[in-house]
Amino acid sequence: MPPKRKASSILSSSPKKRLAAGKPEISSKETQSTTTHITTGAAHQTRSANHPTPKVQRTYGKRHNIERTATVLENSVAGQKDDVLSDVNLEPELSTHSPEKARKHRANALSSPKRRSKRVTNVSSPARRTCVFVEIPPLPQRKRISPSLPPTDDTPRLSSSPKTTADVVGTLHYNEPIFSKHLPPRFHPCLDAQKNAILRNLRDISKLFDEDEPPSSDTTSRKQLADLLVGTISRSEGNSCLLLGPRGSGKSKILDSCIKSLPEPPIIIRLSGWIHKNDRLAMREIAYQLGQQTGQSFSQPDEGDIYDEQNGNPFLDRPNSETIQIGMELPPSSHLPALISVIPTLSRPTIIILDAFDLFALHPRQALLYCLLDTVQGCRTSMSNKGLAVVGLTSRIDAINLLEKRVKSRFSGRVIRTTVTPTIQQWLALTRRALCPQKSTLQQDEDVLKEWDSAWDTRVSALLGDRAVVDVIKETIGFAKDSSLLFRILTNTVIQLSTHSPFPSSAALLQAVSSQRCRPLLYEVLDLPYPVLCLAIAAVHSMTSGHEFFTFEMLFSTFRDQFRASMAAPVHVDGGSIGMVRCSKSILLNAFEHLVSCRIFVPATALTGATAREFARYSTVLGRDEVRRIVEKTGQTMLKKWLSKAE
Amino acid sequence: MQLAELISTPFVFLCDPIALSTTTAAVKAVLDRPDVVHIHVDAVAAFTQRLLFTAILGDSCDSWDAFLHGLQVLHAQKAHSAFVITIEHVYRLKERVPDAIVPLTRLAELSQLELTVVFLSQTQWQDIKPPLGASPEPYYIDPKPLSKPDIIQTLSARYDALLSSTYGPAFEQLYTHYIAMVCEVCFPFTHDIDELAYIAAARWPGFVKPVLSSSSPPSEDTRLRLLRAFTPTITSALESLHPRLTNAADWAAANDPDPNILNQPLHPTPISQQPENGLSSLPRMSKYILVASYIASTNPAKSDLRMFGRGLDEKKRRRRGTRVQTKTKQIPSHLLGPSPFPIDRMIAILGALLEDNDVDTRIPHPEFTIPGEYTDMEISRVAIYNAVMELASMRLLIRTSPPDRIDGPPMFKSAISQDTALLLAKQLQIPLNDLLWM
Repeated sequence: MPPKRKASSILSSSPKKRLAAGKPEISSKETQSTTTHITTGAAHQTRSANHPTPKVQRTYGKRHNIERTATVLENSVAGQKDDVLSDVNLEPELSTHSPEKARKHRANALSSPKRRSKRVTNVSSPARRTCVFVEIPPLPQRKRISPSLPPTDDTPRLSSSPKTTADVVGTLHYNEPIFSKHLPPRFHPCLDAQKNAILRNLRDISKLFDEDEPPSSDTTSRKQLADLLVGTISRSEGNSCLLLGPRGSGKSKILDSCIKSLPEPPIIIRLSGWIHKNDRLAMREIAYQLGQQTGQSFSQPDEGDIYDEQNGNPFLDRPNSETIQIGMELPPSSHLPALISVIPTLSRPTIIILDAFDLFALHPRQALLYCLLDTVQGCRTSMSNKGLAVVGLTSRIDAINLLEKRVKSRFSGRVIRTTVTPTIQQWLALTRRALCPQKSTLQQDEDVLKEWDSAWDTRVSALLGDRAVVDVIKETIGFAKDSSLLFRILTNTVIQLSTHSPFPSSAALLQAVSSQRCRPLLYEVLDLPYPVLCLAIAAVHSMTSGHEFFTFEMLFSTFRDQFRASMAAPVHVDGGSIGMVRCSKSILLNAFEHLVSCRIFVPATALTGATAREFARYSTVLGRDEVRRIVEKTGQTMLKKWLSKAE
Repeated sequence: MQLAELISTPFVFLCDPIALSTTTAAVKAVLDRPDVVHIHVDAVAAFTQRLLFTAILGDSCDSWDAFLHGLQVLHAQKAHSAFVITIEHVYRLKERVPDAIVPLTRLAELSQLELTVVFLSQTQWQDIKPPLGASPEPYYIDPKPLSKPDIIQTLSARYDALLSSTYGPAFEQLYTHYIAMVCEVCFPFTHDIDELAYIAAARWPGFVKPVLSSSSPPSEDTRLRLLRAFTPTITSALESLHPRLTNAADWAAANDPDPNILNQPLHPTPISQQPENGLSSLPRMSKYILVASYIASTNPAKSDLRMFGRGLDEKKRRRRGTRVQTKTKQIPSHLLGPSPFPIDRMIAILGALLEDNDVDTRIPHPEFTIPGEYTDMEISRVAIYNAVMELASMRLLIRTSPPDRIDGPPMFKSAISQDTALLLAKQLQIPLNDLLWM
C-alpha cells in the first residue's frame, strides 16, 4: 500500500520514531520485557511502603536513559527544525489519506443509493413482521474519521496551525522540557486530571460513541427503535420488538439514547433475566417499579389485595414474618394477568425493558411474556388507554424460536439488529477519542495546560500512527469485536502512566494486551515455593506411570524416594550441595492443601469425613509441559532432572 | 496499587494464589479512604444468598430486587463517594451460591449505579466464569508476590512498632540480621509474609535471650555465633509452626534455649518428637487390635491365608504371589489408604498375631491342651468387642457400615498412619514389615 510505505519512510526521518516504528517487533519485545520488570518493581515499591529496592531503581534509570536520550538526541540534533518537519510530516500523511478516502467514497457513492433506497422501503413498509437485517455498508461519513485526525476540538488546532505547535514545542526547549526524563512537577496535576478523565471516559462507553457520528447501521436501528417508541408514546400504540446483537454492540446504549430523546418521560420498567428467574419475582419487581414511578396511590391497594388474599389463605406457607413486614412477599402467579392488564390504563405510557430476553423465554409456560405480549397486541388506540412497548434485549440469535407458538404469534416479530463498529479506522478513531477526552477545567496556568494538551495530543497521534500499535488493535478486534476488551487494554495502559513515563507508549500498550487479552498461564508467572513444585512434579510422575488420580501419600512416597536417591549421590558445586532440600511430611501436606485450595489439585471423588486427607484422591490440572516451564524458570537443577525422568 | 485508580471500572478480578490474605489486607488499606465506600465480604462467611446480601447491605433482604433497591438507597446516602464491593474467596461463592456470580458481575448495570465489584480469589477467572459468557470479562489485576528482599525489608521495618518498646533500639541491627536468617531458611518453603513473620516472632525471644543481659548491641563475632547456633532451630520451628502442629507461644516455651548456648559447642538438633496421639497409654490388647486392623486394612483379603496360614507348607508363607505383569505399576495399598474390612477378619488376624507373639507372656494354663485354644478363648472375649468400640469412638478405627445394620459383620477401617502402626508394632515386638503384603 503506497500511503503506508510513505508514512514509514517519513517516520524513519526522525530518529526516535525510527526507534519506535522502524523495527517494531524487536524493540517492542525488548521493551515489553523491561516494562514487566519495571511494573513488578512498581508493585513491590507500593507494597513495601517507602523502601524502594535499589535494583528496581536501577532498571528505572536504565530504561529511561535509553528512551530519554533518544528524545534528547532528537531535540538537540534536529532542534526546532525537526519539530517543524515532523509537524509538516503530519500534513502529507493526512493528504495521502484523503485521496484514498475520496476514491473509496466515490465507489461507495456508486453502490450506496440502491442499497439505501432498499432500506428505506423496508422501513416504511407497514408489514407487521419486518426483520431488518442491516449489513455493514461502507460509510460515507467515514471520510471525516481518519486514524490520525478524529473530530475532537484539540486536534484541529494541532493540524491547522502547525506553526503555533512548533512554537509551543519550541518554547519547551527553553523552559524545562515536557519530554524530559521526569515529568516536571508543574505538569503533575495535568497528568492526574488526564488519567482520571480517561478512566471516567472509559467507564462511560456510551459517551464515546455519542460524540461520534454513529455508524449508519446504528443510525438505522436507532431510527427504527425511536419510531417505535414514539409511536407508543404519542399515539398510544402497543409495540413489541427485539434488539438483537452481539455483546458490546450497543443494544442498551441505543435503547437508552432513544428513551432519553422521547418527547415525554414514560414509565420505564427494567427487568433482567439474570435476576428475575421466575415470573413471580418479575411480577413483584414490576409492581415495585410501577409503585416507584407512579406514586404510592396506585400500586399500594393493588399490593394490598395480594396480601389480603394471602392472609385469608391459611394453607399458604409463609417465608417468615420479617419479609411480610418489609412487604416483600411474592405475589401468587394467578395475579399476573391482572397486574399486566393494569399497565395500559396508567396515566403515562410504559416501556418494559427485558434484558436477557432469552432467559425469560425459559420461564415455565412463558406466562409473563404471554401476558405482556397479549396486552401489547390488544392495546387499543383510544384516549383512555396509554401505550405499552415491550423491548427485549438479547444476544441470542434464535431467541424468537424459543418462544412458544401462542407467544410468538402475539409478538410483532420486529427484530432490530445492532452491529459492532466495523472498520479499523473507526476503532482507531475510537481509541483516539478514548485517549483524548474533554477534561474538566483545572485550576492551572493556562499556558501549562495548553502545553500539556498539545504534548499529549502529539504523543497520542504518534502512538496511533505507530505500525505496531495499529497491528495490535487490528489483532484485538480480530480477536473479539468487543469494545470493552479494547477499553480494558486502554485502561491498563493509562493506569501504567506515572510521572516517570507520563505518555502512553506502544510498549505499555503491548504489555496491557498481554495482561488483559490473552493472559499468560498464571503459574508460569509466579514463582512457586519449593514444596509446591515438588508436589507438582510428583503429580506429573504419577500421571506418567498411568495413575491419573493420586493421593498425598503417593506423592509423598515419590518425593521421598527421589530425595533418598539424591542424598545417596550428593553433588557439590562450589562447596554447596545442589541436592534436593529436605522437606518434612507436614510441610508437604501443608503445600498440598494449598494446592487444593488453589484448585490446582482437583478432588476426583467427593470428600467424606471417613477419608483421611492424606488418602483423598485428586487429579492435577497442570500438564507436564506447564510444570516443565515452571520448573525451568526456577532453575533448580535437581528438580529439572527429576522432572525429566518422567518423560 | 492499581486498584485505587480503578474504582471507575465496574468489574475487577484479582487473583493471587500465593498469599491472598496479604493481598486482601493491602486492598483494604488502599481502599480505606474517606472518599471511598468500601464493603468487604468474605464468601466463606456469606454462604447463602441471604447472608451475602446481609453482609453487603447490613440489612436482611430475600431477593435480588430487594438487594438492588437497598443498594440504590445506600448509594444515594453516600452520593459523592466511590462505591467498592470486594468479595474474597470467590470460589466458595461458586460452590455455595452459584446463582449469585452472574448478577454480582453485572451489578453495575443491573443497579444502574456507578460501583465497582472486585473479586479476590486464589483461583483464576476461567475456573469461576459462568458458562455461556453470561458474565462480562473482568479487568484483570495480577499482584506480584513479594520477593525475598522485600519481605526482609518489610519485616525488619516492623521492629520499631513491635519490639522497640520491649527490647530498646539497641537490637534493631541484630533483628534485621535475624530476619534475614529466618527468610534465608524459610523462604524456599513458604512465600507468605504472614507465615514468615509468625515463625520469626516465635523464635525471637529465645534468640535474643543469650545476649539480653548486656543492653548494648552484640559484637560482630557474637552475632555470627548466635546466628549459627540458632539456624537449625529455625528449621524445626518451620516444620512445626508452618503446618501449625503447635502454636508459637507453646513452641517458644518448649524450645527455650539454654542461656549459655553460646559457650557450648554446637550440638546436633534434637530430633523432633513424633506426636503419639496418646497411643502409649492404650492397653496392650488395644494396641494389638490397632496393629491387626492396620494389617486388615492394608493387605488384600486373599493374602491372609498366605500370611497367617499355619499348615504344612509353611515355607510358602510370606511369599508374594506372582502377579500378572500389567502396564501400569500397581500402587502399594498403604499409599491408597485403608480399605474397609469385616470385624471377623480383623479378629482372625488378631488371633494369629496373638498366637505368634503373645503366647510367651501368658501365665501357663494347663487346662488348655490344644495349641491355640487359649488364644481362641482370648479373642472371643467380650472385652475385645468392647475395645473395638472404644477405639472406634476414639476415631482410631472408623466404622464404615451404619451402626443400625444387623445383617453381616460390622465393617471398620483403620485410621492410624503407617508410622504409628510401625511404632506400635515395635512396642509389641511384632515384625510388621514382614506381615504387610506389599
